Amino acid sequence: MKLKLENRQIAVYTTLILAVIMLFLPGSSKNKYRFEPEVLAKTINEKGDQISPQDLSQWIIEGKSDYQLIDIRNPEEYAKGNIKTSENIPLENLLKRSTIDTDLSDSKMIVLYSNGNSHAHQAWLVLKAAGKDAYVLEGGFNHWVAAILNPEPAKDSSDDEILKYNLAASISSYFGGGNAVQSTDNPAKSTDSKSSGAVKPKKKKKKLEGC
Amino acid sequence: MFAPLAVFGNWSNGINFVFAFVIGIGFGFALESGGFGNSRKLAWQFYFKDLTVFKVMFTAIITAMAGIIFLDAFGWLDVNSMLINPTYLWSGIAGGVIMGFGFAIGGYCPGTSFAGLATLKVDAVFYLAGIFLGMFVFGEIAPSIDAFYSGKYSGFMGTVTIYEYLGVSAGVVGFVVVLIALGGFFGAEWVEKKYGEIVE
Repeated sequence: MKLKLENRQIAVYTTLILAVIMLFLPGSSKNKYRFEPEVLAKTINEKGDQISPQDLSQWIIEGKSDYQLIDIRNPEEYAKGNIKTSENIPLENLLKRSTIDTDLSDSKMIVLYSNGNSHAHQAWLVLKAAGKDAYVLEGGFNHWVAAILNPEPAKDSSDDEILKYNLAASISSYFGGGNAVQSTDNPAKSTDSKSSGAVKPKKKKKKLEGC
Repeated sequence: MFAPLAVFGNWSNGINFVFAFVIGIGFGFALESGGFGNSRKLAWQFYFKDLTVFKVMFTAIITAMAGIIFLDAFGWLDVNSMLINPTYLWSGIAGGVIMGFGFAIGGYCPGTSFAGLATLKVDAVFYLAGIFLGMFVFGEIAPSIDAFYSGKYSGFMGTVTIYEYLGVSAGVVGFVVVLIALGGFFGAEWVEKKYGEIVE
């Protein structure tokens, strides 16, 4: 029997055969674990492994949702004080493969923090090898407390310094920091800024000059 | 330049530009020889008179898709290291609608308008002027609509793919897309037979 096929039929049948083969392919392996020292070294040299507290505070205030903030300290320390929007995954849980595969987002930035730096950086290495877009909060929670919650008072009474301090103080008050509450007249401000989603530097205030 | 053509950090920008130039020229040449430098041919698809563009684009999509799926299955290509643009669902849909209107009105999509410019088509010149005007206007209003195009209301989903989203293998989605494409081809030919007026 002679089988006659037109070009068009050949094309359709070939496509269909390929499609059926495709259907049964196992698909790309999900195993993304790999260690690339050069890439890591480059990232570290370019400071691409850190997020500054100032940037993070800005993201939180703006309500950005493309990052996942993870507190890797133990639950007791977390309960004593933590950063808004963070979730607590202690280091020993975080480094479990099941946690890395299911609880951590592949698409969002993962920002880690502990009290200081070293534990967060160790976790960072593992998460990078697991293919996550991971970062460490510069200086950890201790630095956050110092830089964001208790900003340094204005160095002198120049307009720039005072503006800078007022901005820092209003950010601090958003996060419930100590200094800001004293230096702003209006304690209800923190709820205001939450609803407006932006922290605006207060205009010059004579009261602050003595700080 | 991104994977699979360049491995992270191995090539200088100069080399990247050479590759981009060669690929761009090749793409433009393919568009022009397919007749896509002609805005009438492109616009005619919206009137169901000439669906060449639809068929060519769909062919390109399933060819590239099948290529990636099979190369990945053979282990020759690492899909995980390929660049996948993040999805901003709502702003993406809005952008698609605007782009579609522009396509139907102007008879070009951005790529083909450059192919049209290369052969000095007047309508391509006007279309490109529109593109640059649009870019300027967008650049000016972008800060005030930030919440919609990259913020809270943008429907940001990260770098998702349909097969990951549905929890199936890439091949399953590939199979379905091929079936849709074949259906599309037959549908297109049927429509062309009914209303057809092929632009040569």
